[in-house]
Amino acid sequence: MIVKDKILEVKNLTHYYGEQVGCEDISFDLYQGEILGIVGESGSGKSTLLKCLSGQISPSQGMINFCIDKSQPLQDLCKISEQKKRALMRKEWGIVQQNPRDGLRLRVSAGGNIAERIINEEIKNYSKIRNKALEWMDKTEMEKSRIDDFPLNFSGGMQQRLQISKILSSNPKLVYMDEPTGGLDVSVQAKLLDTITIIVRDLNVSMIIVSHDLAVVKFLTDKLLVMKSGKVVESGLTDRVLDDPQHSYTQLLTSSILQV
Amino acid sequence: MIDGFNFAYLDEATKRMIRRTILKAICIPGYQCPFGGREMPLAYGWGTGGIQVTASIIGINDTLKVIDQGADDTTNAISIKNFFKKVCKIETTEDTEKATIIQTRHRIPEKKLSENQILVYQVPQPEPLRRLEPKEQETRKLHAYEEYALMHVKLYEEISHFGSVIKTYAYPVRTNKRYITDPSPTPKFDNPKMDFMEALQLFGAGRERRIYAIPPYTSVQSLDFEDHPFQIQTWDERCDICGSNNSYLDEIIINDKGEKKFICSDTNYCEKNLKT
Amino acid sequence: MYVAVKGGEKAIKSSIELLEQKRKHISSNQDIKISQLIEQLSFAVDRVVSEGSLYDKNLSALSIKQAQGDLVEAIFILRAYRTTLERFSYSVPIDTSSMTLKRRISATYKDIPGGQILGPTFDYTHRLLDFSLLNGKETSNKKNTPTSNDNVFFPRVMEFLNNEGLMEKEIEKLKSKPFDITREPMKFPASRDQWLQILSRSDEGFLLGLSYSAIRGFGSKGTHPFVGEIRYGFVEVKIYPEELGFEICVGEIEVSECEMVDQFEGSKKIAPQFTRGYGLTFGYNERKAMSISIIDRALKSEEYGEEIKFPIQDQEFVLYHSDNVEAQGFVSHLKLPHYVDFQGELNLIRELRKKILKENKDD
Repeated sequence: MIVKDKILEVKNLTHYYGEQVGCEDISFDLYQGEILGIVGESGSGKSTLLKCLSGQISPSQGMINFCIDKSQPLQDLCKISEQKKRALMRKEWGIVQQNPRDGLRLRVSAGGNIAERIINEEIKNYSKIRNKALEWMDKTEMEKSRIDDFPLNFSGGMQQRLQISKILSSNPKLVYMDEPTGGLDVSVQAKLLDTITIIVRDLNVSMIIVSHDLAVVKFLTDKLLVMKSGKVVESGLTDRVLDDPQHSYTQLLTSSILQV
Repeated sequence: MIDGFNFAYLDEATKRMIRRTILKAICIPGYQCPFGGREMPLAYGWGTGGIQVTASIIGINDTLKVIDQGADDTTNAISIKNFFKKVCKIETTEDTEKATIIQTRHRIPEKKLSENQILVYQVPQPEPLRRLEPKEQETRKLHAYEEYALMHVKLYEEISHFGSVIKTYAYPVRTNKRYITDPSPTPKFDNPKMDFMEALQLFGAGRERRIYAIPPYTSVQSLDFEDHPFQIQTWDERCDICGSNNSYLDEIIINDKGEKKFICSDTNYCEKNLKT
Repeated sequence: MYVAVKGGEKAIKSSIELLEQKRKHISSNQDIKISQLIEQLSFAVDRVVSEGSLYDKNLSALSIKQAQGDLVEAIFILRAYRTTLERFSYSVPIDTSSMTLKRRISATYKDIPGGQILGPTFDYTHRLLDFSLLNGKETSNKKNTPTSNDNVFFPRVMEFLNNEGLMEKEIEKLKSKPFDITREPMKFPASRDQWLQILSRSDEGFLLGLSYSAIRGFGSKGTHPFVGEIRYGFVEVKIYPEELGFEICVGEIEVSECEMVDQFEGSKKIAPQFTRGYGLTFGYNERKAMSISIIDRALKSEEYGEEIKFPIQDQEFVLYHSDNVEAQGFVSHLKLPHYVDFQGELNLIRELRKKILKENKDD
C-alpha cells in the first residue's frame, strides 16, 4: 500500500459574518493526490469555507494545518504572518475562480498571466519563462498561438484553462476550484473535466472542488463533504455518499441528480 | 531672517522634520518615506519636493546649481535658483564641479559626481508600480512583501509585444537589491550613473509627500531579463556644438523644412567640452 | 554650427512685467480696495478662505486682488502664506449648536422649533440679469443681516431623529488625537477626521461634481439624501490657556454646516436606522457643505459593508484628487519642458516603425 502524505488538516473551522454563521465546526483531512468535493446549495457555507481555506479571509476560529515541507510537521495557516501566507498563496496552492475576472488579469496576455506565477519562482530569463508558459498551455490543451492574446477575448472554457495553467505552473500541492464548470455549455464542460482529470492524475496534485453540480463531483471527486446551513451534514467516499445517502438533505440532493 | 523669511524659507521645525525623514530614507535605500510636506510658493508638480529637500539641507556655505532638462537656463531652473537666491543669499553656480548641492529635473549631469556633493532629484510620481496598481494601500504591501512579479510581467509584456522593453525614461531600478525605485523621469541613458554613485542621491516628491534616498556607493540595477539585458540610448549623430558622442543629445528643429541638429542636453558639460 | 538659444532669465522677467500690466486700471483709474472685495464679492472671498484653509478675509481678498480674480491661483497664494505662519495654540471644538444663526433650514420637516429662517440666499431670486447694477445701485442704510434672537431656542433637527432611535449615532468622542492633514501626509484607510478635514478645504467644483454623480445614480443604491439641517452663521472661537484654567473667546468666525439624512441600514435582526453625512466649511459655502455631507456618507460605504462600485465611494480616488492646489500644480506642470523624456519616446517610435515598415516591405 502506498503511504500518502497528508497535506491538509482542518480542525473546527468556523467563521462568522457579524452575528451570522458563515460556516461552523468544519473538520476534515486531505491527502496528496486526493480530490475532495464540497457540495451544497447557495447559502450552505461552501463559499465561506473555500475563502477561509484558500487564505482570502481569516476564519473566526479553528485551524488550517498545511504541509509546507514534507519533512516538517504541518503548520497552522491561521497563525503564520501575512507575508508568509501571501508567498504560499502564490506558489503552494491556487484558486480557479468562478468568474475569470477574479482569477486572471484580463488585459495582460495569456503568457503574461502564467509568467507572473513563474516569475515568483525567481526565473529571470525571458525565453525560459515564455517556453514554460507555452508548455503549460499545451498541457491544458490551449492553442499555443494565443500566448500573446488577451484573455479578455477568450471563451469561457479557454479562460478556465488559462487559470488552471497559471496555477499549475508553480507546481502547487493543492488546487481549489470554485464552480469550475459554471457558465459553460455541456460539451465544453465535458472537455474541461477530461483535461482536469488527466492533469490531476499525472501531477498527483490534490484538489478541492466546490460545486452545486452533483454530476461534476460524481465524475471528478474521490471524497465528498455535504454542507447545509454552514455545517457538514454528511461526508465520505463520493460513490458511497451519492449512491447510498444517509442524511435526509443528501437524499434530497441526490434525488434530483442528472445521470451523466 | 532675510526679508521676513527664515533662512531657506521653511521654519526650523519643518526643516528638522524633513531632515529626520531624509535620515530614515538613507537608512532604507530606495524606500519611499512619507513626510508632512508643506505648500510652497511654487506649484505642486513644479519641484516643491526637491525644493523642500534642498531647503532642509542647504547651509550658508553651500554652492547651489539648479538644472532642468540638463540646462541651467531653462525657465523653471532659473525660477527655482532665484527663489533660493532670495531666501538664502547663498552662492550659485552653473559649474557642475563647483556645486555642493545640485537640484535637478529629468537629468543627471554628465560629469561624474564626487563624495562631497548631493544630488537632489525632483520627482512627480515616486511610486514605480503606480501605473500597474493605482491603490496606495496595495502598493505599500507589494513593497513590504517584496512582491515584484507584476513589474517583471510588465517588462515581459513589452518584450512579447514590441520585441524589447519600451520604457525610455523613469526606467525602474532595484536599489540595494531590495526596493524597486523610480529614478524620476530621467532618461534610461542616465540609469548607469546611479549605480555606486559617490554622491548622495536624494529624491523629493512634494505633491505625493514622499522622500527617498540612495546613499553613496549603493547598488542600483535597472530591471531586465538575462536574455534581454538593459540597454541605454545611443545616437548616430554627435553634438553640433562640442562634438561629443557620449552624452545625451537634444534634438532641435532648425528650419521650416524640419531639418534637425543635435546638441548636448547638459549645457555645462557641453561648454567645458568645447573649451578643451 | 548651431548656436544655443539663451535668455531664460530675461524671458521670465518680461513675463512677470506683462502680468503686472494686465492689471491696468485705465477705465476707472481706481485701484480695487480690499474692503470692496470683502463687501461686494463676499462669496469669492469666502471660497478662498475655505479652500485656502486660512480664516482671514483681508488676506483672502488680498490674494484675490493679487491673482487678478483667478480664484484657484488666489487659493494657492493663501495656502503658501499659511505655511509661514506659526501655530501657537489649538481651539476648543467649535459649537455649532450655539451658533448665532443667519440662516437655518430643514427639508425633512415642514416646521421645526425655532422656525425655518431663510436668511440671505440666492435660492429664491430669479436669475435675471440686473442691469441696474451696471451704474451702481443705491444701497439702503440698513447694512446688517438680522441674526437669530438669543432668546429663541434652535434645537438640532438630527437630535429628534436621534432621540427616537431612528438615526445612527454620531461618534461621541475620538479615541485618539485628531489627525492633522496640515502636518502629516495622508494615510489609508482614511479615518473620518482625516477625510472631513481634507474635504473641508477641497475644490468646490470637484466635490459638486462627485455629489451630483452620486445622487444621479453613480452612488450606493438608492442614494436619496434629505437635508436634515443647514446652518450658516457665527460661532465663537475659544481657547483654553492652562495658565488661566478657563476658556476665553478669541474671536468669531462664520461657518456653513450641513447634516444629511440618508437611507436606512438594517437586516432581519438589526433594526433599521437612518444614516448620516456631515459637512462643515469656513465662511458662507453652503453648496460645498452640502456636497461634503453627501461625500461623507458615501465614504462610509466600506464601513457599512456596501459594495464599492463608484468613484465617490473610493477613498483614494476622492481624497487624492480633491485638493485644487495639488491638482492645478500637477496638471499645469505638463507645460514645463519635457523634451528630454520626449526625445526618448521619439527615438523609440522611430525605431519601432523602422522595424515594422522594413518587415512589411520584405513580405
